[in-house]
This record gives sequence, C-alpha cells and structure tokens, in this order.
Amino acid sequence: MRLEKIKEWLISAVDSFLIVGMVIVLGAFFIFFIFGFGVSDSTTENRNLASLPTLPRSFVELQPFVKKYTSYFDDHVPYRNSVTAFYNKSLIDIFNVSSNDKVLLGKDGWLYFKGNNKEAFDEYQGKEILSPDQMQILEEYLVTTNNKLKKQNKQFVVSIAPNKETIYPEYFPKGYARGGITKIDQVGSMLTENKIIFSDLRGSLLEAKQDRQIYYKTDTHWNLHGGYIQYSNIMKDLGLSARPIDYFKINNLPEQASGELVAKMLGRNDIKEDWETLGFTSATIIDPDPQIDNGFYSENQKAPYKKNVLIFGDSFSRILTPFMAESFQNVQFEWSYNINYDLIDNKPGVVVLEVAEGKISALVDAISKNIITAPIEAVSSVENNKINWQFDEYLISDDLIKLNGWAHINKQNSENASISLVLSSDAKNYIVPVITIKRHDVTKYFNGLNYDEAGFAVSIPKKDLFNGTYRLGIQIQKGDVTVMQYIDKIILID
Amino acid sequence: MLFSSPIFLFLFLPVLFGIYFLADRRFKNTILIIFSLLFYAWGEPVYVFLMLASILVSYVSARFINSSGTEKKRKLGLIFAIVMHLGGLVFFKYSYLLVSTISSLFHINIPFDPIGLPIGISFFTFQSLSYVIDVYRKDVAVSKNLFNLALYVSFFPQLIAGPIVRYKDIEEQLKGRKETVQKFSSGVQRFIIGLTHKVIFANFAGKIADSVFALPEGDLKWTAAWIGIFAYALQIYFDFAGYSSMAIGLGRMFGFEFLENFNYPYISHTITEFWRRWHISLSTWFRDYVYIPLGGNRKGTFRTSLNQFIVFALCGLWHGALWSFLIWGLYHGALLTIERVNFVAKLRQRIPQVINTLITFVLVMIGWIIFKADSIASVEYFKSFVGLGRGVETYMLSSLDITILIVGAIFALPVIPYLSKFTWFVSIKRYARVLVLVLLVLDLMVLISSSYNPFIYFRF
Repeated sequence: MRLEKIKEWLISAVDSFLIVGMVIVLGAFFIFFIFGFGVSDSTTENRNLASLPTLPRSFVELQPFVKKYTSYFDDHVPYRNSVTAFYNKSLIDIFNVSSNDKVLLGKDGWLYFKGNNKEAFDEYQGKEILSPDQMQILEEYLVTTNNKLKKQNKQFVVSIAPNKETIYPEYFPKGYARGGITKIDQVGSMLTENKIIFSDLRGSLLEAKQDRQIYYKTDTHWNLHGGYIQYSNIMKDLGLSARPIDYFKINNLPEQASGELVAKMLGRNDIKEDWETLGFTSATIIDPDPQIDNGFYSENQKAPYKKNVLIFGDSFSRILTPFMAESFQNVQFEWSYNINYDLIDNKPGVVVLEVAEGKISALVDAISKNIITAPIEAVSSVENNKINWQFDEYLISDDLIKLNGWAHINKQNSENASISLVLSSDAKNYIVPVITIKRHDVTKYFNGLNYDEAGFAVSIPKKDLFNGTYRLGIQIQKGDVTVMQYIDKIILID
Repeated sequence: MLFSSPIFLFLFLPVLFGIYFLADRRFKNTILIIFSLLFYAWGEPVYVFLMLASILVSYVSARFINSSGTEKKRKLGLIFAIVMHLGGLVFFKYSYLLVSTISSLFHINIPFDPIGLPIGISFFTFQSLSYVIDVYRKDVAVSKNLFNLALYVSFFPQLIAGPIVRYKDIEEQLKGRKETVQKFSSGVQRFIIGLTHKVIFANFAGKIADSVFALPEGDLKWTAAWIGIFAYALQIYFDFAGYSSMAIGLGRMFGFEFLENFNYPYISHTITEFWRRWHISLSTWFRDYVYIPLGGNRKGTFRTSLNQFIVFALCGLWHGALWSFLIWGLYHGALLTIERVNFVAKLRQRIPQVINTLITFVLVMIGWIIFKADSIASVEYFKSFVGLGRGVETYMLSSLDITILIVGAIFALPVIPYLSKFTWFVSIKRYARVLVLVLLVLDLMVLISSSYNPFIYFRF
C-alpha cells in the first residue's frame, strides 16, 4: 500500500518536473531575451544580423514588419552564438560532419569550401565547366584587354589562385575525384593559345607543398608561403626578379588564428592553427577605407622596379599585394574583376588580373554584365503573363540601359530556355537577346526545379533605340513555347 | 508562425501560458481566440480577415440551417456555405492552376497573376465545412456561441497543419474543460516528441532528400534514388506526424483532446490500410463528406472504383495546386482499385505479411516520387529508381545521415507500442519520460543553430 503511494507520488513528481522543466527552459529564453541577457549583436557569420524594425504605421507595413521582426528574433535568441558553437562542435566530435552544408570536413583537420551553392565540388569533379558561350565571352574580353593594355605600354598577366582541393586533394574524403577538364584548364588553354601571360601556379604549388604547408587547413586561402609562390611566379612570367623568400622574414605564429571556414562558417573560434605574418616590409600600405573591402595601395621608394602595378582581383590579392609592394614603386589593388581603364595611364607598367579558381564563373558574369547588346527590331509580342522574374540591377544612365537579374516561366525549369528583353513603344518594338548567367542561387532559393539558366544580363546603348516611351517586357523561349510578359517598368528614350 | 520556430517557442508560448493560466476561467476561450488570431496574423496579416469571414459564414449558415423549418431552406443554407467555403478555397488555391490550364489548352491569353495562398486555408475550410454539414445532418447541435465556433476553427494548434478536428469531437471541451497537471504533462511529452520528429528526423532526412533530388533525376545511380526517396518518405512522415503530435500536445496543455492523425502508416499491409493510418483526419473527412455521399461501396464495383478515383483525385489536389498532386492522388486511387480485384486480394493473402508491408511501402515510395518531383522529373527519377537511369550520380551518406535514416526508420515503426506490451517497459517509461526534456534541449539547440547563416566571399 505504502509502495503504491510512493509510486503515485513519484509519477506525480515526474509530471510536475516535466511541466516545470519545459516552463523553465522556454521561460528562461523569454526572460533572457526581454532583459537582454546573452543577446548579442555580434556574430561570427560574415553578415549583418537583422536589425530591430520600427513598428508599422499602417496595415500595409504590417507584413514586412512581421517578417523583419521574426528575422530579428531569430538572430537575437539569447546565447545564440554559444549554442551554435556547441552544436557545431558536437556534430564534428560525434559524427565527424560539418553543421554547414558549405563546408566539407576533410582528413586530418583539413576543411574545404563547397561553394555558397555547392558548386565548387561540381567544378572540381568537372561536372560544371564553362560553356562555349562563356568561353567566347571570356576570350574576347581578355584578348581585347591584352591588346588595349599593350598599346598603353602595359604588361598584362592573368593569375588564377587554385582552390585548396586542386592542390590538396589527398585530404578529401573518399568519393571525390577530380574531373578530366576543369574551368582552370579551360581558361589556361585559352590564355596560352592567345599568348596572354598566364601565371599557372599549379605546378609550383604542388612542388612546394612537398616541403611545407602552403594553404591554411581552416581557411579557403593559402598562407604567405603559398602567396609568395604566386608573387614569384608572376615576377618570373614578367621576366623580372622576385625578392627571395627570406627577405620577407615570414613569421609563423603557433595556434594563432581560426580560418574563415571554422570561424565564420562553423562559428568555431576554438579551432586554431598556425598563422603566418610578414616580418619585414619596406612599403607603406595605405587603405583609404579599412571598413570596406574595396582594395588598397602601396608606396615604396626603395622598390627595385619603378613601374606601377594595378591588381584587379579578389581576396587572394590581399595576400599578393604586399609581396608585389616590395618589388614595385606603386601597387594598387582594386577588389574587382572589371579592368578600370580610368586607373590606367600610358606609362610602362603591369596590370594583373587575379582570380580565385572558384570565382572563374564570377569573372565571366562580371564581364557579361558589361557586354553591349544591339537591339533587334521585331514585331510586337503577345503578352501571356507566365513569367517569374526579378531584377538585381536596374540602371538607366544617360547613354545605357543596364539590367541583370533572373527570369523563368512559372513552374517550369530554365533548362534550354532562351531569355530576351522586349522593348515596346507605339512606333517600334525591339527584341534584345541577353547574356545567360548561371544562377545556382535561384535554384536553391526555390528549392524545386532547376533554375540554373535563369540568370540574365544585358547592356543596351540608348542610341540604338528609336525615340519613344517603351514598355519593358521579358520573353522566354523554351522548346516550341514562347511566353512574354510586360513588367511594371517604363523607359524613356529622348 | 511555425511551432518549430524560436519566436513561437520563446515568445508566443511563454506569454500565452502566463496569461492563460493566470486568467479567470471565463476569459480562457477569448484569450485562446486572440492568441490564435495573432498566431495566424503573424504570417498572414491580411488573410486573417478571410479566416474570420469563413467563421462568420459557418456561424450564419449553420444557424440558418438550424432555424429553417423546411428541408428546402436547410439545403439552401448548406449550399450557400459549401459554395462560399469551396469558392474561397478554389479562388485562392486553384484559380491560377485553372486559368493557366485553360490558357494553355485553348491558346488564349488570360491576364491573371498568381494569388498568395492563405496558410492553412485547406484545413480551416474543411473544418468549417464539416461543422456546417454536421449541423445540416443533425449530427451536431448548432453553436449559438460565435466565440466557441471561432475557437473551433481558429484554435492555433490545429490551424495550419491539422489534424482536421470535427466540431462534435471538441464541442464539450469548448464549453468547459479541465486543465490538469497530468494532461499538461502528457501534452508536454507529446509536444516535445513531435518537435523532435520535426526538428531532428524530418529536417535532417529532408536534407538528404533535397541533396539527392537536386541531382539530375535521370543520372542517379539506383542506390542514390532509393536513398533519396526513402529519406523523403521519412521526412514527409515525421514532418506531418510531428506537426500533428505538436498540435495534439499543445491541445492537451490547454485541456483539449484531439484525435490521433497518424498511426504508423509505413507498417500497412495494403494501401487501403495505409490510408487508415496516414493523415487519418483527412481520409475520414473525405470518407464521410465525399465518398459515402457519392454512394461509397454500396453501388457496385464500377461505382466503388469511380468513387475512389474521385475521392483520391480530390485528395491529391487538396495537397496543392499542381497536376503532379492530382496524378499522385489518381495513382493511389488506382492502387486501391487494383487491391479490390479478387485475384490480387487472394494473391496477397497468400504472401507473408512482412512481404505485403514491403510491397506497400515500395508502392507508397513510388507515390512519393510523384509527390515530390514534377511530372517529367518523376519519370526520370522513376527510371533511376528501377535501375534504368544513367547511373552516374551517387550520394555519399555521412555517419549522421546513416544515424538519422536508421533511427528514423525504427521510430517510424511501432516500437514504443510494441515495448509497451511489457510491464517492465511500462514501469520504466513512467519515470523515464522525464528524459524528453533532454530531447527538448537537443531540439532547441538544433533549432537555434539553424538560424546560423554565414556567407563567404560576401562581396560577390
């Protein structure tokens, strides 16, 4: 009898404990949020956290407010950073998997970046290479650039920084084999054929890794020894002498820093690795706006070469520029793939286009967005409203209409779809073929059909259009079907 | 608002608990209505008026039916309610599909933009309809209290993903119910188990399924195709059943008792049995309000099959305004018809039950291919599924994937009901249920971390 009573009491205690437990857990987050305990505005993610939206002033503003407040709440859950770091650590420790789809855990602590839309591995495996159209765009652009720069007394070098998996495939998990031809192979062959200086680093890097580690395990970039190889190869390809590596007195700081793959992508600052810094520099580095990654420049009166160097490139150029600064009097790094001729004078000098292997498509896209397209006169099209679209850039300047974005036929994939813009006035109708831009992000966003081919870019000179007020439309042809839809944009040509 | 979202768990629920349990009994239903409307309005500020209109239509037409002396008037009230409810559903959910189909078929240009779909419209429409039809059939007394009806339709636990509750099942609870420690505790357990189903099993299995379905369907190796659809089968089950469990659990916390919506469907021996175990509230709704009124199985073999096809075509379309859902529904209708053929029924009786279960599960998985992919992609996927694809794309299972698939498969089977036959297990379970709090912590950890969304090469 007494045992029964104890059992009953225990069962009732378990019931109460369950209720109290849940109330405490959920209530604690509520109280902490209200009083701001553990609520952080900083994050290891490479993005700004959602900010607190202002209260809606009208019913129309209510829905955007709700969305923004939900994002704000998600980003400001108490102890979010600590919980995330613990969760990420647990996943790695227990299952040896990454909590982030964009990061692959390799062997011996090597991490690899899969790409924001997992495209990097498709590229590595040769599943995604540049299309003939993309190759043509790239070739025309680089050949034209090379010729132009030659006329301006400049040497032009293209240097591609190989992805980590290209140099260190041995730490990949099983099952990922390099494809026969990858984008870097395609671009390298094209540059060689056109006699454009191509600083192919792969051989030197593969050789150098036998002696020492040249990429960070926890970052997408190489270390300074890797960066030095890029610098010395460019110098060699230009027919100039590089400073010896000892000159730079590279410091190795043990267990010093966490690369972006762990710190940003996995939120883990506890995984540290040796980090390298330059021990000697005679150049002065000037960054006009350190808050923004626009690039920076250097001045060095002691440099052996009095030439000016312009580097157009990405994050790898941040490592390259300080090396170049020891050899050249003026080095300017612009974080962009678009060669800006306004920065180029007629004195002898060097222009470097540096591209990360994983960003070759971004280079093609950057070029595509500036290609001038001639409109073709056509008969007016019939609208049938079946297109889902968005403009990422809608720029009408004095002489140019520059648009890029994505479009697809509703509920149909974008495979083999051909997009054109339609400009229609009372007097004239034009069809403007667009450059196709790969949009893995659109496919990922809609999480269903394949919209990789939905991206487009077009630049139309206004002078090619007859004066008038034009309605803007999008036309997509897919197989036998052609659909067209006018959008809420009017363009005035006068 | 979703149950598995931080804002629901850490803001909405604590505030509601605080107010509800401190309030006087007289105000409890009003509090639940206000919070239910807030819950709905959080995702759909405009469409909350649509739901209110749906409640009002049900209230007015049911009162009209109840007060009408003649059958003609009663029928008129019923027709009015059906037209209004189904009209709203068709307009918001199916109009774009209908217009685009007509445009394609007749090569005409009908300018028509897609309309935003009000969340949960299929659920609250079906609940409202069942109430009015039951009043018409005199199966349930009319609700004179608008607030009780409003709470029945809008009660947030079952509002956006079911179960589709019948008014007669909760009529008494709306009028008066008792919240007890045991009920609340049982609700907590059920909610946490549902949350685990959703956050752990459904979401992780979903990642596997999405990765496989992102590959070119016709290029898949058969192993990858099987992994993908098996993962999807687990995802859709744990997602849906998990959400129903959370709804049942939340209902219990506030003193309500909803009927079960899932009963281990993947152990079914036949497709007929599958539909008795899968989304029970939907299949019984179609049985009671469509199949039986059409004549059910009382009018011969042909009419029975026809009725089944009609019901499953509607059931398919109920899931979404895509032709693939209709095909999925017709596929199930066809399977049910085949199962009724004497020869097939006899043959399957001779087969061991475990084989029947496997056959049924494979047939259900094939159905999920149609459900998940569009019509062309599903043909390509099916080719890979039966080994006729190009077979070049594989999927590498991580240790986490394997764990999720195995543990998920185990918990998709009635392991707990089986073990509950043993007294030792029941004794342990009485006390060990406290461990669900560990699951809660685990769920919250995964949930909070899922908002971690870093970018690399931010500038590009």
